[in-house]
Amino acid sequence: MHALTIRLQDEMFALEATHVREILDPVPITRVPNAGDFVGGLINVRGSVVPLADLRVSFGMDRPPPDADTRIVVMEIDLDGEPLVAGILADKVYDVTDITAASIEDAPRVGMRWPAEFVRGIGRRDDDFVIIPDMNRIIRAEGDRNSSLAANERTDR
Amino acid sequence: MIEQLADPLVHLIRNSIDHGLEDAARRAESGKPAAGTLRLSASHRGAEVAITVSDDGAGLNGERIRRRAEEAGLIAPGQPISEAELNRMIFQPGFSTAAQVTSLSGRGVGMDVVKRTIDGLRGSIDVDTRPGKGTTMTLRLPLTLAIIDGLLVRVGEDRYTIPLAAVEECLELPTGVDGDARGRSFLNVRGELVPFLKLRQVFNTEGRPDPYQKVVVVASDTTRVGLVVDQIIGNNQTVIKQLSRLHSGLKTFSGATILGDGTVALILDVMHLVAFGQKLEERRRAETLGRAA
Repeated sequence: MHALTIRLQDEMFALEATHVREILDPVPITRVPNAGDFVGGLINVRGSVVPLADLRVSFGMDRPPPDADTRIVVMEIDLDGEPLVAGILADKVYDVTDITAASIEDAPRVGMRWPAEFVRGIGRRDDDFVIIPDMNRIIRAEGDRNSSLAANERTDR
Repeated sequence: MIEQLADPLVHLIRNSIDHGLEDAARRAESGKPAAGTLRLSASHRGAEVAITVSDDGAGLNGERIRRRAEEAGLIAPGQPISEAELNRMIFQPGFSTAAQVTSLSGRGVGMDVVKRTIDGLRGSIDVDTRPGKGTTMTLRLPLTLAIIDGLLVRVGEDRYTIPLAAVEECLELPTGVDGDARGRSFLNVRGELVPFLKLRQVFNTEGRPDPYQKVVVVASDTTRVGLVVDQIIGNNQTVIKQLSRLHSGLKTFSGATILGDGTVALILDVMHLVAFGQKLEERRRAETLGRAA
């Protein structure tokens, strides 16, 4: 797997490089009230309005304010056959690397601080572990949260 | 888009006539005029076009839908399910509650196809029903590119656009009405009572409000509501961009736009915003009452 490695808090994550469109320096973020922390912002990517997702929320990590290393990785994620463009906040972007399929293992059921369903696998790079997040599942879980909110709004009206 | 809408619309109208409207005798019993009314309307709401098909018939039969859904294995017997969810069952493939198949409808194909077509157009379909009073189907379809006139306002650090079509007037919030506005949140606008919503509260805005708060009076459905903001920046031409699926559930915003300086501003959906504000206030009221008790 061709992967773009990024840092979130002190863990290395691998994003599928074929889904990465571009990497941006931090841009002004528009807050979306009541949207929840995961997709609490919108950014302007060359004239289109793109949601900004913060994976650190899904993984229950600290969220320090942006610093000199902060980047936004713009990804195109296939969701039920429809492409969804979203920005992913990264504390730091490393490089593009090859992670051999053989080195990828399933997420262990124990010994992990994070929700196991959000981890597609754990890859190895040199002597380090790289977390491969399951973007589809994360986005669907968080997206559903917002749509169920809406459903309530509708029923209550 | 029009071509693709024809079939779903015909289907919805057929359905209303066949399943919704009762026969003349039954209508007379419930005190309705013998001739049924079917209303088809279209309106422009923010970044969407809303098309409604409503009838004054019997409404959806919740029990029958439940029975049918249980038979078809869509839900477990006795499974608790909200009314809205139950009503949405009619969009499931192979679902039909008509006891009889008629030439008009009831072949069990249709509503799911309608839903699929609308989904394909990136729209949504909603059903609202009142037993004995009728059913309203609302189709919402996005306008991919639309330009509206908007009023740009500032709430805290954030800027929002209010569709100018909804704006009636702007005024300053009299000091004294302000405070924390416990209990009394309405204004006297030339002898008329206008309730107001503080957008700072609705949007959980941090920081201190500006000393002189402004009110944008908007018309929503039948009522006039004041939206309290920190600053009115001015009107602008706004290109509506749709929100992604991640935010499509937030009905208080009908879209977003890109301002001259490149930042993104959200466009308020006045109708939904007022409904949301009402709910928020009810919750707050319930909390205060709970604390007092």
